[in-house]
Amino acid sequence: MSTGNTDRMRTEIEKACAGVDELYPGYRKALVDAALECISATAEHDDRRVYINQRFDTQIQTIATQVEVAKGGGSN
Amino acid sequence: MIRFDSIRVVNFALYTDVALHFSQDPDRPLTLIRGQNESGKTTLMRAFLWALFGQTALPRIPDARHPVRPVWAKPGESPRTRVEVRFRAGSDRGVSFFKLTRAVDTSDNGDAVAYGNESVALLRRDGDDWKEQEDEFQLLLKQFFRPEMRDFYFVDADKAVEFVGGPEGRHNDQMMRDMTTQSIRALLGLDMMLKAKDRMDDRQTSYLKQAGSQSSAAGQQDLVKELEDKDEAFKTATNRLAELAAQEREHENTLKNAEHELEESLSKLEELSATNVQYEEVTRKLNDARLKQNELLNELAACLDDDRLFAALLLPVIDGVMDKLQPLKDKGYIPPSELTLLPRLLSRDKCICGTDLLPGSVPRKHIEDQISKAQSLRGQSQMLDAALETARNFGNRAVGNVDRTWKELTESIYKELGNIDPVILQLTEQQEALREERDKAGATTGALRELQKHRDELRNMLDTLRDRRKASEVDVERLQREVRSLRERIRVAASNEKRTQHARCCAEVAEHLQTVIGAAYDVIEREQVLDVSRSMNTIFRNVISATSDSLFGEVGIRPVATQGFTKQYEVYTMEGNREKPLALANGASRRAIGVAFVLALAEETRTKVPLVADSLLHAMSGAVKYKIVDYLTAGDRIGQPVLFGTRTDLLDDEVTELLKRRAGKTYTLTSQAHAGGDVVRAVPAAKCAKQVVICDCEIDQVCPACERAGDQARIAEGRLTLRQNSEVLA
Repeated sequence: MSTGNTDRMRTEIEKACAGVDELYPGYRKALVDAALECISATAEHDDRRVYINQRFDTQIQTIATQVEVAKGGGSN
Repeated sequence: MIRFDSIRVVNFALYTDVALHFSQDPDRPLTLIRGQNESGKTTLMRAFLWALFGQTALPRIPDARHPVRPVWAKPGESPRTRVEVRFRAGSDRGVSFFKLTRAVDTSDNGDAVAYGNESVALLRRDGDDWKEQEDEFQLLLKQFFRPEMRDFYFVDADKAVEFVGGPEGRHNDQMMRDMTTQSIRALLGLDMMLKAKDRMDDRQTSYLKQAGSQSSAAGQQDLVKELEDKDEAFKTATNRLAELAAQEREHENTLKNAEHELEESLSKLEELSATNVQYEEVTRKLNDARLKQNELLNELAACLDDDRLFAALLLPVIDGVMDKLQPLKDKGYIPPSELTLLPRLLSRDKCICGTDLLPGSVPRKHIEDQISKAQSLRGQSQMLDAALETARNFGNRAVGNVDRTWKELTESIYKELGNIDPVILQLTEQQEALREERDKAGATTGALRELQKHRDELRNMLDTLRDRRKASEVDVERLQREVRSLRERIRVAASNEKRTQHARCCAEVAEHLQTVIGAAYDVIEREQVLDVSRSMNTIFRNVISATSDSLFGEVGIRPVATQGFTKQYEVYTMEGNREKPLALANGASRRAIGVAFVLALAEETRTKVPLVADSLLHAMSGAVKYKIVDYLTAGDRIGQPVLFGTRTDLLDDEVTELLKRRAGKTYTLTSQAHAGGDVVRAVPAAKCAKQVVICDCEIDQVCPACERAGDQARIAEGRLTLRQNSEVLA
């Protein structure tokens, strides 16, 4: 039975993101979405270590790639 | 939102086949399941737990054969137990209906009960059909019914007491803190945030390791420098190879020319050989000619004896004399010998030929002139005459001794000698020409040796050049391989550097996410724990501590000293302004504080999920019961309250009235075999095929099937209504 705390989490995560420097215009929103997605993935797949690591990596690498593109670097 | 629709229990412990439906009435959300002690309430709740969480959710039951196997099943029988729970799950996308069925076979060999062939199926309603959720079955089930929250959503008073450290006299602070902390984190979703944060930390470490394990930029620069050096060496070696190749080609050409020249010289040598042959041939012919000449001369010499020799020698003299005499003859010379004759002829006046030589005649005159001329030439003519005579003598002597054959032979020899002389002359000239040619050829042979020597030197040089060129090729190939290798290493290094940068970037992102989740977690934890604490205190003060049994003025939740990084929480109690150790709380207070904690958490989770509570009202005063029921059923604090209670728990009139108003569904469980203790341990089926009767009598109703004897006094008082047409469900 899931919790109903998602809205509150989003609110608090958005607040927390305000303190993170924006590397590109969508970075803050990407962080919020990724953080919520990772929490949600943890709730649903915590016992599937490899899978959940992949989910986390997908979130992280997606943002990292966007950051690199924004910096003018590019990615592999 | 999760709401139970129904539960069907088949061949489970006491139950043969019963289906209960839960209230879906928003105005009367409560489902009340009442029954005397040991009437099967707890068994029904266990059926619930077993269906949702499996065998591990069932507590061990002392003295029971098995918590699942029907009590009436005989050894050797293998009845199939099945519990089906239908529920609905709501989200932003709407409501879905599910059917969860767990089934198992049990067998009893007299010594032990075997549990096997278990099956679990989760089906989603799709129109009129049910579709099995094969792939996401476990995920959905865990999402709907989190195992760690099992004891919270299916709670009883005894379980609630564990949240405050256990029953009176056996207080355990650590158990209280563990359960409180686990419940808070699980119910508020904080544990997921904490796990996500920890996992993000793990990912960050992983990315930093990746970044660290890959080559550094400095290493890449070293490789670039090395490549530059190798590249330069490669170019130098390539140029050197080109030079050597050019030299080799040049020497090859030179060698070819030398070999061509040599071939020409060899050809000339062959020509010299032909000249030698010719020379030898000419020499041979010349020798033959000379030999022939000598033979002819010898033959001629053999032909010439003294007379013949004289004759031969004089004949030319005679011819010369005769040549000398001819002019004299032409001048009228008369040989002296004849001069004697002529005067005699004149004296006779007659020529030998009969011509008259008369004086004065012409012939005579002619003779006389001739004699006159001859006399003027007499001196000469005498000498010539003498010579002629001598020659004649010799000639006569030679001719006289020479025959015609000798003459012809001699002339033939002379002729042959005359023929052979030009041949010898020609052969001599040819020999001289050939000698000159041979001399020239002799010079060519020397040049040929020089050419051969030159060619051999060229060959040696070419071999040397080829060896050097091959060595240079090996060098070039090696350098080329090294350059390629370095380029590949640089490419890999560059790729690694990119990956390193990417990994670093990922690590930064992971750190940010970790920071964000951690910050949000801290705030939510702090605020929500405070909210739970306040709610708990409110519930306790307004709902529970209204009773005079309570010795506590304030209760709540607070963080305690952390064990490592992870925070822990504990229930605290205050009396006035002083903290009062929870260990001092009596049983009623423990139950009250525990229930307050459970209800506060249920409220703060803000989820609309069922709360299945067994004996929650047990041993509470009527006022407390009323307030708890009111709290559970008023508004939408609790998504779907399901209360199990004894008849005694619900005897209070006000509570009864409240339950009548708030209970959309009421079921009464009546045991037919109160053999003492939990009905699961009831006497097996040999004595009673049906252990429990379930009817739909409401809180103020009674029927012949329920609660057996009924309560005649209350019926008489009109507080209970006797029904004759109740629906008996089991």
